[in-house]
Amino acid sequence: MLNETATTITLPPRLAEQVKDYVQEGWFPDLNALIAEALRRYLEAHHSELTERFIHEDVEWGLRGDE
Amino acid sequence: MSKAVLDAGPLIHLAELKALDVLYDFDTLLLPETVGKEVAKYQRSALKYPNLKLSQVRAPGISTDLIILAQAFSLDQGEIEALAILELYPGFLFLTDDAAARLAAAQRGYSSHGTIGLLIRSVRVRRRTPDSVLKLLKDISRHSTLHIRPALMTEIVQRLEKEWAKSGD
Repeated sequence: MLNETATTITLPPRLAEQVKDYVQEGWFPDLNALIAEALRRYLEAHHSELTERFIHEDVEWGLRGDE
Repeated sequence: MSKAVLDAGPLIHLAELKALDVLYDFDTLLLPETVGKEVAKYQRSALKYPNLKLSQVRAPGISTDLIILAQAFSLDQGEIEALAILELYPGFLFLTDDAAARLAAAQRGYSSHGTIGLLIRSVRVRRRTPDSVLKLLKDISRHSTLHIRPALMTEIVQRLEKEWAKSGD
């Protein structure tokens, strides 16, 4: 466990149920693996610079786009 | 009239904001099968919203280069299906809030836009008033699961207030 950090999270009941189902169905070995994968995907998909660039593009399109 | 392929994000976020009417003027909204299932799971009401021209469609076979692109960008199944459908309809818009999916779409030459763009656009197409959109944007983090840095949202709102005051909207 030398390279791991322990933390506590609180989930809304419905989400907690879904998470439990995923683990019970065997998609992930345990809750920790599922949460780590979800976080990794979130961080990979939400590079802040990229997200902000797209939001600025959206503002321009919203104001002046001609689709 | 506008046509688009949808990812789950904009449908879910607009439903949370009670603003699905901003999609009324789209005459075709294609919903990939997996995206439909995702929306049904988290925001079923969005699929039954009146006057939305939503059609659930099955994606065609996924090409090898799309599989490679999907792996590179860590896309989920819904996003992959949306991009596969866009291969058939390259002129359609791709509506998604996922940065990786937007980057992948840009790489394929498709135009993509998200919830923020759709809300602002609704003023341009005279669907909503500037005041109603500004109110939604200011409250977006309270009423939806779309996460935007508060300082960025403040910047956007200030810009829109200036733009719309100037144009008299």
